[in-house]
Order: sequence, then C-alpha cells, then structure tokens
Amino acid sequence: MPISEHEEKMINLRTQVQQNQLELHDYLSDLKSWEKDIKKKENVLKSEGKNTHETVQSELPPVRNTIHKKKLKRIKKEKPADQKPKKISGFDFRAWDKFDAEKALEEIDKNDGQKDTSSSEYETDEEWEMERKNYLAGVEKDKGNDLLKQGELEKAIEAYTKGMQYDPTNAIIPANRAMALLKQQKFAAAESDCTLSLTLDPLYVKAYLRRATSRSSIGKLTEAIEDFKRVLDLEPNNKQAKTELEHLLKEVDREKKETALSSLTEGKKELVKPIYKPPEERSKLPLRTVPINEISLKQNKPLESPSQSQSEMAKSLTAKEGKKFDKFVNAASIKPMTAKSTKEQEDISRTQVSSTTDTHMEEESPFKVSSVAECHQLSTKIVTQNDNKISKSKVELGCGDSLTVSTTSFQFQSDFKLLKNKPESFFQYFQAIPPAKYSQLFGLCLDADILTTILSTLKVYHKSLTLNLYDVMLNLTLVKRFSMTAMFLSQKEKQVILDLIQFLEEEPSVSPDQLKTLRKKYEL
Amino acid sequence: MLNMDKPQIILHAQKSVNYTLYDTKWIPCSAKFVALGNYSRGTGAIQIYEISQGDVQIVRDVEKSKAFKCGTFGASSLQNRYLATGDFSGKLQIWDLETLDLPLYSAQAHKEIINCIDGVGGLGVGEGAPELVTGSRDGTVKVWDARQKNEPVATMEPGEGETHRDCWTVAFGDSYNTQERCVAAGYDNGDIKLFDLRNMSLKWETNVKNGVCCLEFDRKDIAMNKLVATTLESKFHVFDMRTQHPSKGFTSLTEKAHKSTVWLARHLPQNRDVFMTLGGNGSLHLWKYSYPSSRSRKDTDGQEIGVAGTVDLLQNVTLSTQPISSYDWSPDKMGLSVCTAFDQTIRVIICTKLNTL
Repeated sequence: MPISEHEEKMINLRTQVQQNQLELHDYLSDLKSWEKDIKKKENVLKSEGKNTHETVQSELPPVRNTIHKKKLKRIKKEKPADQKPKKISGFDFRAWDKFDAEKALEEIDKNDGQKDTSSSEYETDEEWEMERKNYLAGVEKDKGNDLLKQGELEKAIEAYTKGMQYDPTNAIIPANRAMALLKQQKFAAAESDCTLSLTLDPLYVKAYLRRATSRSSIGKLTEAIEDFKRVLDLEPNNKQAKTELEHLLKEVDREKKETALSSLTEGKKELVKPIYKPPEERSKLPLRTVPINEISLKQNKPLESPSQSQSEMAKSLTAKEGKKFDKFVNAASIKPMTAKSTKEQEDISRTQVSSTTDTHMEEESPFKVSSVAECHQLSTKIVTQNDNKISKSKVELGCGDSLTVSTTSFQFQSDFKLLKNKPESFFQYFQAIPPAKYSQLFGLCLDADILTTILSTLKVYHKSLTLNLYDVMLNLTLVKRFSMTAMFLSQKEKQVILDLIQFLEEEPSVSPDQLKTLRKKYEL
Repeated sequence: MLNMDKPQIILHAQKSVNYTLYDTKWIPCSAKFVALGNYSRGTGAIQIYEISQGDVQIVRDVEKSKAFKCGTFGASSLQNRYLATGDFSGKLQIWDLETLDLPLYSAQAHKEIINCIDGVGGLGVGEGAPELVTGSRDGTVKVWDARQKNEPVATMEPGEGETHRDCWTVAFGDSYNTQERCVAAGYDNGDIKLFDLRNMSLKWETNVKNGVCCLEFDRKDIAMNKLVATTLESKFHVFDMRTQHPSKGFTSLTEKAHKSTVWLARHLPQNRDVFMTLGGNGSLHLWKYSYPSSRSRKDTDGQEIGVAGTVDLLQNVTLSTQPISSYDWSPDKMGLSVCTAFDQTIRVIICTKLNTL
C-alpha cells in the first residue's frame, strides 16, 4: 500500500519527536551522572585550592599600569579633547550665534600651553616618579600661596614644607616659605630659607630681596647691602632694592661714624661711646638741672659739685647724648630700688654722660682728665650711678671698700649689662663687692654669662685683686643654684677656672684641702 | 520539519524568587549557580542554587545593604571562585562564596550604578593578570586588579566637556598572551569603543545607531575573532574582528531578531560560533555563525578589508512574557544554561544536539 505524502510526513515527525525525547532522556540521565561527577571534582578542587593558593598568586603577572597610571589618564583625556573642536557648519547660524570667539582663542592658547607641559613621555619608573613628585610639589606650593594670601601663615609654611619635601630642588618653594617666615618676623629662619633657595637657583631675585630684608632686620647690614647689590646686578631697575640699599648705606655710614668715635674713646679706655648727631637732629630743648636725691645709701651725699661744675660744659655739648642717653634712661628705669623718680635718674645720667663725653671730646680743655684711674672712677661712677661717690672714695683709698656696690640683684644685672664688655671697669666694680655679699647679691641670677665674665675678669686681673681670690671663688660657689650653672660650663670656661685655681696653688695661704673643695664645687 | 533536527531548547526547571533578578552565573566547576538581584526594599540579594535530580535547590541566601546589578567569576582562580559584583551605588566588591559576611575587596568604583562587569585572567581563561572591568552610568569604564586597592589600573572616560554617556556593557577580549588585552564598551547612544589595554589607546570606535545592550567576544582568550553587539530596536550585529580596515574598521553583519530589544548575547563555551540572544519579549534565539569562504579581501585601494559571514537561526523559544535579564551557559556541561527574567523567575534550560552542530 503506497504511503501518501502526508502520511510519510506524519511518520517522519513522529520518529523525530521520539528521537528528540530519547535524546532529552539521554541528556537528563547524563546530566544526573554529571552532577555527581562535578561534585566530586569540586570537592577535590576545594581541598587542592587550600594548598595551591599561595603559589598561584605568586605566578601572576604584575598589576597593570602601577607606574603609568597617571600617564594613561592624561592620554585618555587628550583623546576626546582632540575630537572636540568640531567645525561649525557655515549654514548653522544658530551655532555661530553662540560661538564665543574670545573664549575660543583663549582655549587655543590654553591648549598650546598644556601641550608644552604634558607632551613628555616618561621612559623609566624614576622619571615618572620624579614627575609625580614635582607635580605634588607644585600643588603644595599653590596651596601655600593661597594660604599666604589669606594670611594663614602657619598653614602656608606647612604646605611649603611639604612641597620642599616633595621637590627639594625647587628654588621657589623655600623662597616662598621665607616670605611667610618674614611675615612672622622669624628673620633668621627666613634668611636660611633664602640661602637654601639661592643655592638651588643663584639667579632668583626674590630670594635675594627677601634675604636682604631678613638680614637687615637682624642687623647684618653689610650682608644685606651685598644682597641688594646683587639684586641690582641682576635687575638694574629694581626699585625696592634701590631704595632699600640707599637706606641701608646711610645707616651703615652713620654707624661707621659712631664706631670711629667710640674707637677713639676705646683707646682711652673710656666706657661711654658718644653718639654723633648731625646738628639738625640734635635736641633743641634746653637742658634742665634737676636736683638729685640719693636715697638708698646713708653715705651718699648729693653729688652736686661735679655735676654742677660740669653742667656748664654739658650745655655746650648737648648733642653728644643720643642713643647712649636713652640706654641710660632705660637702665635707670629698671632700678626701682635706687630711683625714686626716673626723672632724677635721667638727669644724673645726663650730667654724667655729658661729663664723660666732655672728657673725651675736649682733650685739650683745662678739665682734661689726666689720670687713667680717674677715668675709671668716672666710668664706674656712671655705671653704678648712685654709688659714684663711694667708688670715688674707694679708688682714692686704693682699697676695696665694702660700703659701696649695688645691693640688689636687679641693680647688679643692669650694671653687668653695661660693664660686661669693659673688663677692667667691671673688675673694679666687682672688686668693690664684698665676697660675703655674693649670695645675697646674685640671688637666683647667677647665670653662666655672669659667672664666666667674673671668672675671666678675675683671671686677667688677679694680680691687682685686692680681695682674697680664694674667698671670692668660694663665695661664688655659695650662690644659690651655682652648681647648676657650673654643670653647664663649657670646656673653655672650665679652663679659666683651672687657671685660677692654679694661681691659688701658688698662694701659701690656701691649703690643698681648700683647693680640693673648690675644685669639687666647680665641678672640675 | 527541519526544526526537528535542530537543537531543542527545553525548560528543565524553574524557581520563583521574591526579588528582581539582574544577573546569574554558574559557579565554575560545579552544578551550582549564583543569582544576584534587588529586593523591593532596595537591598541586594546573593543566592546560590544547586541543580540536582531535575530540581533547583537553594544552598545559600544572603541579603546585603546595596542592590546588586552584575557579577562575574572571570577574574578569579578556579580554586577560589571568588565572585566580583557591581552594585547600584557604584561599589565593586569581591566575595568569597564560602564566607559571605564581608567582601574580600571593596572599592567605590563609580559614582553611579555599575551596569556591567566582566573578568578575565582567572579560571584558566585568558593569559595575563586577572582583571575586572566595570562600566557605569557615570560614563566611565574602569579596569581593576584585585591586588590594587581602591584605585583602578586603567580608566576610560569621556573628555572634559563631553557628555557622559551611560555605559551599558563591557567585555574583555584579545587576551591571548600576557600583554595583549582589549576592552569593548557599549553606550546608550549606540557607540561601541574598543580600548587596547596594552597601548592604552582607543583602537576602534563605531556607532550602531541604537543603544548597545550587550557586547561579547566569542572568546576572551584568543586573538579577537568575532564580536556580537546587541541593541535596542531588535537588532544585533556580528563584527568580524580579524581584519581592521584603516578607515572602515571592522566589517559586520546585522540581523533582526526578537521583535524587541535584544538584551543579551551569550556564546556557547564549547562552540564559539554558536550563541544565544535573549529578547525583551522573553524569547531565546539560538544562532550559528558561518564564515565566508574568505574572511578578507582587498578593496580598491589594495587595503585588506574583512568579509562578514552569515548567521542562521537554529532554534527559538519564548519562555517568559518579561525581558530576559541574564543568561549563562554552564562552562562545564554543554547545553546546560540558566537564565533569569524580570518575572522574578530563574530558569534552568537544556539545549540538546549542540554537539552535532
């Protein structure tokens, strides 16, 4: 029986469906066995994984772009930027309306600038790292500049410091930090920052200017002048440098004259340096005579005769007062014990100063002081002020009269300030103090400076010392906190003490035991 | 009638869940798969299922604070099988499925939702370092290495002033040795960009007019061979990636399918010329690509230009009324696959006769 076409199709279909079902059945049974297999495999993998984990990690290639990350970002940004400037069609009038020609020009300028800076490609890790640090340094610098503008000096300095760490070769950052330091009036630090900046870039004008400013502020005038001159070499039209330099030169000139005068006086072993003032700067006020009241010491009598006798001279020499006068005023004003009114003190000093200057200036005058001793006496008088009469008598008597001298540590301190650079007068002054009074006089103030000055003075003048050297040295050790001061003496200073003790050794009156205790006290 | 000789697509098992499913992946070397999604309260779901005896059983169920959008095992070793996920808040995380309490790695990868993720270098697939690539709504594509914290190893972003297009899909390819590697990225405006990770440059770009929903190379670990791009408006394109013409780029063929958005294309791991496309209408189409007799020819200027092949529809089936959100072939068992759809159902699918193609 022939099978019709339709029937044939039906049969085919049925067999295919049967086949499909068979196949699906096969697949599903296969799937079941696979499920079992894969579970076993997974378990093996898990147990394996615990052991092999470490080794697999170490075999991995390095992390991509760990070094070139930044570079990549830049490239990616540049790419779209290149595509960006699309031409505006000539018929697209709306777009042309929006087109801002100036902005476009600006952008072109900006792009040119950017290309110049970012076009470099880095071959090695080091170069890349350098570039990164330079960039960070720049960021910190800008941050610092902003903070400086806002007046936040501390933070600005911090930012600059960071920047310097990132890029120690950048000359601008230390110079900027110096600016901030200048504003904080930390001149020495500013100076060293400028010096650093200049070692990095010896042609950086701003650093010279700032260093000059800081130097002139801490009194290094000649160096400041050199800096300003250097600036003018580099930038002959720099106004700031010009004006500052002029100003400084004037100041130095004046100072030179001063020192010339003082060197004159120094030669005569005088204490007080007169100040030269051009006539137009001199005080126009008439001098007044103020009665002097001595208060602290019984023996003091109004010192009328000398001051009166010399005030005539003083009148003609008012101009010689100047700075020293102010200094005396200041010195006098910090002696509350001796002065009832500062005015009186002022006057004392004024007359005395004029008297001394008098002696220097008018060497040929009938009032010329002929003996050096008298000069000392005068100077001592000036310094100790209300003790002048006693000092006088002391010098006249030729022995260390214990009546005189300052009685308070305040007074001693201010006297010391004036005398410490004039060893001989200081020696005279010190000799007048009875050793037993040391502990009272110095109180808590025996600092290393005073001690070393005393000791070195003693060393120089020990031969003319009227006191017992041993007494002096022993009594010094009795001052409160002496041991503390002694502990911090330098080798050089200790050598001075050793020398002194050597002198003592030669003295028969001092026993070895005494020397031993002395050595111990001076921590030798 | 011929259909009967062709592979059959059969629904093997299905499971309803109470959250929106976005992605599913087979756990390599197992009969288990992981499903990722979004609970209606905004939290994220990670669930692990296992197929056994024709059924789907839940193994683990974890809820996390942020909804998950995508995941991959591509950058993990076969031993660890760590899952990398991208979530709605832009976080890239890597999870050890054994201990899901805390992620092994976490980075705020993007400012907005991570739409797509792909991995390479793990599972013995592809040479070179294990890397992840993420694409986000913020318009950037970032390449990650789990050994580097917080920072991507490469970033592809639009230039300043350019509009940020939503990146919908990313795919690794060309990873046939330790240096070479490519990332393809598809955007909502129809742009397809191919980034060369070795040179850190844009290798090629084109526009397919409709938003690109999915890109996939037929293989990640061979020199670029084919790239499938599926788009809105029911079209997909197959690019022949062997021959790049200096001006015309790569040749492609275009095919209509699904009568709706083509959401996904997934190549069969065991046969790179067979792939499944998934439609917005819940349909699955199985395709086979046939190469032309010669894959390249000389154009009038004497330049090499690629020649496109043809695609044949092997089978199609509609499983759902909602779009298919994800589809994954089992790498271990040919013909076994899992798919998720927006009807909140996970389906395990079997394709037969694939070995006869």
